[in-house]
Amino acid sequence: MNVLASIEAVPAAPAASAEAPAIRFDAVSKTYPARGRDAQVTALDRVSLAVAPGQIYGVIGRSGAGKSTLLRVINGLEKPSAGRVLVDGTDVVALDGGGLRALRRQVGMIFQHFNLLSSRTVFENVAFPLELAAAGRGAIAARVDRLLDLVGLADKRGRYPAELSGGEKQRVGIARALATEPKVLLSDEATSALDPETTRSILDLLRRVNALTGVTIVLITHEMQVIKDIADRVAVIERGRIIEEGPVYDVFARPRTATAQSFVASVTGSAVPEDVAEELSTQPIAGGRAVLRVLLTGAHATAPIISRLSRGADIDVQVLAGQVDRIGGAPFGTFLLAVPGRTEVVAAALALVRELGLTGEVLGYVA
Amino acid sequence: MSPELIGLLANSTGQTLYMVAVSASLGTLLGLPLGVFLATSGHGELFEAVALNRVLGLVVNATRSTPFIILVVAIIPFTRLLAGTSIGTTAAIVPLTVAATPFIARIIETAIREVDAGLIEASRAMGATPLQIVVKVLLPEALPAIALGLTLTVVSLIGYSAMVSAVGGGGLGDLGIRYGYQRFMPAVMAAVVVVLIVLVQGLQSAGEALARHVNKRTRRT
Repeated sequence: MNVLASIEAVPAAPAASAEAPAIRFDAVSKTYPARGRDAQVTALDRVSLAVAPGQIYGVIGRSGAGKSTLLRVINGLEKPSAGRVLVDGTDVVALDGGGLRALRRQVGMIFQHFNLLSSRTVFENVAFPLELAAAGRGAIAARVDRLLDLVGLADKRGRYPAELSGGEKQRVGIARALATEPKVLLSDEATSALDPETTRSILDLLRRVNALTGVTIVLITHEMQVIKDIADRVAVIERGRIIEEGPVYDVFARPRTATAQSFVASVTGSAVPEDVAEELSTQPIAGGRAVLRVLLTGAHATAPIISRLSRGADIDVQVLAGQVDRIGGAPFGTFLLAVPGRTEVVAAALALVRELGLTGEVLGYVA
Repeated sequence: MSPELIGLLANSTGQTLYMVAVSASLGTLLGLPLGVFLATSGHGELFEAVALNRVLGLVVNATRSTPFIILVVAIIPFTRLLAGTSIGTTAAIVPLTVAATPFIARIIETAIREVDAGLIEASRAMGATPLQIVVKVLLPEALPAIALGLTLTVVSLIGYSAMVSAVGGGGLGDLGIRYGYQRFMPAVMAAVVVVLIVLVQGLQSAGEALARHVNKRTRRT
């Protein structure tokens, strides 16, 4: 049974292919006139990026970093002050009225607070963008039913949004965003109002939709977990600038900026536990221990680090914190280890870490 | 109460209902687009027209701040122009409509402004035209509040309609003044008051039931 006959029309494109980008930003800036005596507010500062067709592109930043503006210039909800935004080769900035409305039917959008029409049923909400595009009743019914099957809400078609849970509302939002068979799906903090379990199921659905239809997804979030779970590529935005950008695994493995490091630490267990951080000193303490951070990445992520240290080098190893998980199918982990703080022991431990092809550093010393 | 008085009461009730129904309908016809415009023509809104918005806002406020009885006599030339006469039940519809229109406009405006701005953004993102947003999003979403506001308007109009006896408008208020007060017939006065209470109570309940029916925002089981 093929419930997706029509939304499969767009073939799934390989991520990060060499073809023309689905979305391109050329030095896009956006400033708002300031209220009062402050200088004007810069939401985007010469942002350039490219999103390949079929890619899931994550943008992460704290609130006020400019990610919301970045998303809204893609479908022309906001006009950049300078620069070009190309969606499927079309310059969004040059569009107006009808052209912009036509583009918006090619770009679906989902929201943190769902933004469903409370006076319409689930079915009528999903039908709404098709109604706006003046589609025929028969075509609407067939398409909406397929979409409700896809998002698993076929049995709720006659319910009103007030009768649904948050996760169900977002599923309706996703079905509605896909109704016009868009090439691009914009996700505005779509899981920020949901609990972790519901978040996972919504992210699973987005990934499935991406795989089935090849729709390019641009999502903004302040949660690194979301990036880790579904994005192929990530941009870290701060004060309107993209300060770091690349494949998700690379940014996780080697975050260069402090902001990226703290985002990565929030999900990989590379953050130093508070009680340890308080005691941490930069100088060795007689009879104390050294705290090492060991990164397990790439081909050597599965190296038997603990047993090699303890059995091979006869070093007592204490695990203070640690986590190993998968990013884009590749193992990735961080361990915080404590070893006896004598200089030669620390040197031996670091040498062994390097020998195993891993990266390690001394964070400090504790008693 | 004599049969003649009962006849008078029935006749007056009919006049009141006629005046209120026609002025409420005309007021809605005029107040709806005015209210929609007031709600959507501010700075950065769908039909941005800040200057016109300000002017219309001033006119609405001026009309609403004029006491109704003064409005009735002040616009007598206008009433005569429209209705051909300035006295009688039909003529009374003119000042009632003039008073109802800005009232309804403000009610519609407030109801529309209560609609979540996120819905407007979502509709724009789906490629809706400004007119589609008004017709398919703002008005349906504001409908429960509009239904309650119109109920309030109708109840107020019943009160106003009592004052048009000043221009020979007839109706229940007129009956109460002329028979109940001037001819000192307490039974008539009491009957007028009872009919008004029943009328207002019935309209209020009907309005609330309608608002509940169109409100899908609260969870029903």
